[in-house]
Amino acid sequence: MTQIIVSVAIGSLLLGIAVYWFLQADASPKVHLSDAREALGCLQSTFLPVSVVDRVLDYNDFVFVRRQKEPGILRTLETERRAIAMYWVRHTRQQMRLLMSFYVKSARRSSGLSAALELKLALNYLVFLAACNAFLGLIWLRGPFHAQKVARRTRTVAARFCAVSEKVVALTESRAELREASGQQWPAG
Amino acid sequence: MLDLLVWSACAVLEGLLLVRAARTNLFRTFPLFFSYIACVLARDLLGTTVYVHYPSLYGSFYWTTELLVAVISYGVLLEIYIHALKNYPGVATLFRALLLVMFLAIAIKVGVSSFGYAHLSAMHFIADLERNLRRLQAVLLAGLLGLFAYYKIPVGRNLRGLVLGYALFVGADVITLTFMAHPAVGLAHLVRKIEPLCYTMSLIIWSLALWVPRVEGITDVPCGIEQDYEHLAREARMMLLRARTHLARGVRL
Repeated sequence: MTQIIVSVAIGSLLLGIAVYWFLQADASPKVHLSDAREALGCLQSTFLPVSVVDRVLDYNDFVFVRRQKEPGILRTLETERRAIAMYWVRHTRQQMRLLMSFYVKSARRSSGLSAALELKLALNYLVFLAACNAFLGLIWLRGPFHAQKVARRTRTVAARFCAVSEKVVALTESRAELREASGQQWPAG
Repeated sequence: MLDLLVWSACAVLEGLLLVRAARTNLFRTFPLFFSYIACVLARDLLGTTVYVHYPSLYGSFYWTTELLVAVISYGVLLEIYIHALKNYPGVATLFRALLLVMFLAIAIKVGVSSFGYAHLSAMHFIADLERNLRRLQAVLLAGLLGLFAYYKIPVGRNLRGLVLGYALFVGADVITLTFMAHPAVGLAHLVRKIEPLCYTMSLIIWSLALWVPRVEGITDVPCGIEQDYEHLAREARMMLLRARTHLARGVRL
């Protein structure tokens, strides 16, 4: 029985990865340097500043409306803030994904890729995405006003990742300038 | 009747693939793949002759050639690896590391289980060996496709069809071989019918993808971050590690 389970698992895994790869190859967007720069700018200027998330998830707003003893308004406030918080998480994750994609596409040509380092990076990234999903679940279950701390931490971490991505983008930009100066074409991604 | 129809369709498609490859010069681009198809076609045609004229020898002929074909099919994997990763030496190194780990794991597994082979017939031994070879092939192919997906390796239309058909064939083969080796489960008869259908589907995919030769459109050129790669990768990993810790802590709140 173990033999059958192992074989079915291996076969299914291969077929699943093949289908995913085949579909992804069609849908995979080309990430240009300008896209990465735009994603970085968008994260740094719109989504990561402290005031945005703090304002959206401000617990004082919740307390103030609750004092008015109008359940309808409280419901509306919660619904709207939840939608905004979810949009914030989704968009931040999407931009982070774009930056990661840019990193991967920049690193893939390197001849000195470290297996251990790449594996750790990939695992961490996957866990990060999973944690983002868990965060979304938390907002959905407990409401936006109870997720302020998590949102603040997500923002801090995303800001740190942006700092790394900024280095990758700056490095690639300088290489592009050098390449332009020497008359070579830039990769399409 | 259906078996004969499927068998004939496979032989015709294999022949068609080889003729087309010779006409379009794709034989030169994918020599190992087309050699594999030629071997399978030769085995099928020879097998029919043996089955009709020397039925008593068919069993040993079938298992011997089956093992041989399984070994030759590793050439296709090698061809995919060479074509897709020729411009990506770092990713190729990662795959070689995976290959080494998998070979060691399989060698240990075969070494340990060979103690129990003494009571088995040669046919069972070959069937078991072939199943292990197919499993290893499936794991390696899954690893290779995982690398393609993660690093978004650009693959041309010809190679993409070849990989998809090959993955379908190997994946289905790994599953069906196990069920056939365990008739007690009760699905062996059904699976015996499904296996040739999967192979026919692979042949159709290969025929469609390899009908017209396409220039592999690799537009990627080196961006030259080699020197700073290690530093950047370490920093990115640290950031993600922190992200995971913070988020996990936050979710627990």
